[in-house]
Amino acid sequence: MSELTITDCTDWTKVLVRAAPSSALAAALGTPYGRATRAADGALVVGTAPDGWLLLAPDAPAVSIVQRVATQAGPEFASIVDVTHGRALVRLSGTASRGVLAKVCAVDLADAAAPAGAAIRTLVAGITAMIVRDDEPGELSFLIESDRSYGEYLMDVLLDAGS
Amino acid sequence: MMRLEPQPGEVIDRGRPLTFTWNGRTYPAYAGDTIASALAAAGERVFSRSLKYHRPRGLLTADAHDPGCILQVGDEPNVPGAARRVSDGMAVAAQGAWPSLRFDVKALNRLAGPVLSTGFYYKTFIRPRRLWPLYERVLRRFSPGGRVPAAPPDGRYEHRYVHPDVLVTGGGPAGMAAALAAADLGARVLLIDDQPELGGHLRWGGPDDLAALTELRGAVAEAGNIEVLADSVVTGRYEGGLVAAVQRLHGSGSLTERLVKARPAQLIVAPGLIERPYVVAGNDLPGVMLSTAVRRLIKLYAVKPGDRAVVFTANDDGLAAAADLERAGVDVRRIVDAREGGGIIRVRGRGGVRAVECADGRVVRCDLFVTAVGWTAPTALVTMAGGRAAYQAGAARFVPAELPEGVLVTGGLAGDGTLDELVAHGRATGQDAALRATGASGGGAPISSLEPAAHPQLFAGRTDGVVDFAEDVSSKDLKAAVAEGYDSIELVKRYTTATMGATQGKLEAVNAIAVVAAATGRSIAETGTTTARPPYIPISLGALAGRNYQPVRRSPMHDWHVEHGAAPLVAGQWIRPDHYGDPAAEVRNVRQHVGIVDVTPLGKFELRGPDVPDLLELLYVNRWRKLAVGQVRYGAMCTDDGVVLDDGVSGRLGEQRYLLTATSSGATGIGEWIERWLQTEHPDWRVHMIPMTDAYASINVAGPRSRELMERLVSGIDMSNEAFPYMRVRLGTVAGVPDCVVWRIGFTGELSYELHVPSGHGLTVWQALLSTGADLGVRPFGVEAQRILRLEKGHLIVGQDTDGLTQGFSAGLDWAIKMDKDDFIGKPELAWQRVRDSHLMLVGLQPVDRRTVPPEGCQIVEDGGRIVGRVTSSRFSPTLERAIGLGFVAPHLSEPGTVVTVVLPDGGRVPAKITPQLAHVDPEGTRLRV
Repeated sequence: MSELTITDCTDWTKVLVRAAPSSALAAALGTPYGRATRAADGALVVGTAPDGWLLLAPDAPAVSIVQRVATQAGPEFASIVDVTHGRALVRLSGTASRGVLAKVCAVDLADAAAPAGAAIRTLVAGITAMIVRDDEPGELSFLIESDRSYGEYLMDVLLDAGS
Repeated sequence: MMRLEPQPGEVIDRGRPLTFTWNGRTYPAYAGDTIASALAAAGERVFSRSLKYHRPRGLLTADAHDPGCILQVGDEPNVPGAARRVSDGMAVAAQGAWPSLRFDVKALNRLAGPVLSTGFYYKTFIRPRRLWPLYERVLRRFSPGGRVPAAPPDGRYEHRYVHPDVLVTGGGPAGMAAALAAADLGARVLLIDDQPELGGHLRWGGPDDLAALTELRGAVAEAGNIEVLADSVVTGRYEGGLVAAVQRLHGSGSLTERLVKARPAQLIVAPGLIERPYVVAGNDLPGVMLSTAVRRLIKLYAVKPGDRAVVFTANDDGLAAAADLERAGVDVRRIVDAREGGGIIRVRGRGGVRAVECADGRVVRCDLFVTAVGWTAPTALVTMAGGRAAYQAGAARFVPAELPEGVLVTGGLAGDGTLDELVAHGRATGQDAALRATGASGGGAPISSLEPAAHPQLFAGRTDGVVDFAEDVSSKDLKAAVAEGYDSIELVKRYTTATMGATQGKLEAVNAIAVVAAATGRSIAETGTTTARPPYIPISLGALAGRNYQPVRRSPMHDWHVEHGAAPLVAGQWIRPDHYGDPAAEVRNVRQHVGIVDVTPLGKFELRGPDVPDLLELLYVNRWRKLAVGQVRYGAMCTDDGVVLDDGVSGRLGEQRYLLTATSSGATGIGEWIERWLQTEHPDWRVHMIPMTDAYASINVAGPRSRELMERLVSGIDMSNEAFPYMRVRLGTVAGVPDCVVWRIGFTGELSYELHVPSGHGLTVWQALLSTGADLGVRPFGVEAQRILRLEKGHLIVGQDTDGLTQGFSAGLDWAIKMDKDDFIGKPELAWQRVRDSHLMLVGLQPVDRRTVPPEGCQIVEDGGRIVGRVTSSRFSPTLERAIGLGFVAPHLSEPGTVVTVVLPDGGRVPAKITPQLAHVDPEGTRLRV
């Protein structure tokens, strides 16, 4: 188990889904607001709003994810948009990752408040970000997602805080 | 030398000798020594000069609160010398004394003592007012404090957020017991103490105390869920239960200080008690110390505080201090016990204690006068949290009277007791806090009561002495303030500055209240306390600033701009290329050939759903319902009060898919604005708004040869004027990058295309445009050239050519505002504005002298001085080779051809002519449509 690893995951595929909380699609996605779960195809489904989800996948092409979700949506009103290019994504792993985030983020990320699968929309070093507790086998790990234009800043801040 | 043989609980490490300098001279120290203890061990007694009268000052409390020992350490001013530990090679100097600590010319103030009466500064320097700048310069020389370094100091300051179940502030026996008990029940505990090691008063106690200390410290170290922050002080308790603490790490690693922001479920306040000085003539002479100060010096630092002592006490702690002094070899000449009727008239000496004059007439020669006259309970955190303190006359101290939700107290703040009683109270309090914090039950075990012990009320003697050592305020000053009519303690505080210095009332508040109470004939309870506010101790600006992270947004082409010499323009959080050396040349290149500009910060929002036309009709003042797929349109938005909010181009990309753009500066706000209307006013509409600002790199390709350039790179789009006319949008592949949005618009006034490229490919397309178009003369242009181009074309910029009062009809948007629409945001106000005729009008301006460019913001006047408008935008136009501008003028001056008077910043006046329309270049718009 490493102390601290930071990985730029900005090249992951990211698909934004908007649909009513009561819709069949919401039921099919099965992830409530504030939680993250892994879909059968390996994509991480993050509940970013009561009527919003962000699907994150390391290598699946956006088209296939969009098509799969569109099939699940059926005729109901839903928007499925490829936002791969719009978001920066960083993974922070290791025993020290929580301590690094505690320097730049005011929310409680302890197990009791943020267990595995927690998804929290908050500020990280002054920018709007989503923190997803996405542990890897045997290792504490957080995914941090922000607008893409902040990506370099976010990386700089985390490197500074973790130095 | 005053260093004693090794003491049982000493915190110095005799195996690690160090050296440091004090006012240029080298002194020895041991690791663990504070600056003050090392200097005292070397026989130094004077550390500073007092604020007003520049009287010599020595150690009083020998801890962080010591007002006589504020020093300059290297570049760092205002260091508490009795708390900061010596590091090897440290350079320490006295502050504020000139030319030297021994001989301070400002001590002449003492001779002027009667002149420097209460309120002296208020009374003396109030008039004439015009002389204040001069007064201020002179007074500054007499102000206290060290030298602020010109450059930011070395060192690293950080912030850290923590969320303990229970935060215990104060690591004495009760605090440690509370932390242990809470941890035993599974709570996550943060234990904060201002000393380098836990223990509180046990550290300078007897063998039993030291044994208990070892046991408690060991248990805390072993407990898995207690985090200890030593050398840390809780500085305040704020709204929402936020507790701030400064953790000092000087010399212990790469970090200098850390500001810890804690949100504990429960706060246990256990700071112990603070010993009070005695107010009597001569009480600020070097050699006058509190009983706790001499015990700290002897027990912790093995320093003999003097040779011959008189001890004045009203409690057993004074007797214990006398015993400690004797053990340390100090000749205790006399113990004066107030409980037996003893008293002190004055302390005699000049530059240091020489003798003490007792109430019975005896004068005892000595160099050390020790007082033990009572305790102050630091209730500040309790009252900051919304609690209340009340005076208990029997115990001669204010005690917490009402505890707010989430705050508990233990230890000396709660009351007095034996060590066992303190520990038992701490344990019960810790259990209670843990149970409350973890929600296990409504409350914990009943807490045994800990009552404040009886103590005589002993504050001031018959003679006047210093009350506030930090601000140099005497009991005489306080009495004078009362005599002048300042009978409220809050007013006395502000008038005399008592309790307003670095000690913030910790040592002097109760004495000040007692003196004012006596002077007004009221009781202490009736007089009341001043309000405690954060910070509890002085905090460095570095700790408040932390790492000072400032968010920065960069476009995918940012590094390219930097490599190609772009001058950076900070626009909100974005860093944009202002120009690449010569903005005028960039303008000419766009007009003659073709240029490309990075407009990525442009706000972009994808709108999806069947009800998007309803949303657009609501947001914009103009019409959108008939916008066909493939069309784009300019739109302007107003707020409810008809003020222009934003503008931009939006297009219909598909049957139920639109792309709305907003100004770069307004982008974030417009996203929230749209969401607000959707969520709160029209949740029934089936519309999804998806922010896409960062998803697309945006590039404007402008100039007569832009079509040729685009044709070389675009596939899947017929670029001919017939197939792709002005104000149309197409989706296609650009430079091999699919899913690009291309629309034909004309902010610059030239034939131009705006490309929205998936961000990850922005740089690829940018570079392809430049390499493919080299023979067409393509050059990058920056924000400045774009501003000139749009001004030549007469396009307004919302926020520059409009302000927070500019309603739609003032901004020249008459053509766009469709009052016959059913509804849109701002319509009622605009209906009212239209029937008034008094509003300013946005007009084009051309100074008659073509070379004079009036700076933006210049006023337009008439009749010699009446303001009738202003210049909102102005530049020298490279295309027209003349000054051009936009501005607001009163309606009677808005007729084309009117000559108005513009006032320059130097007061000069130049005439400028109103142009027939906003556009200076190509008003017919032919260049856009080729």
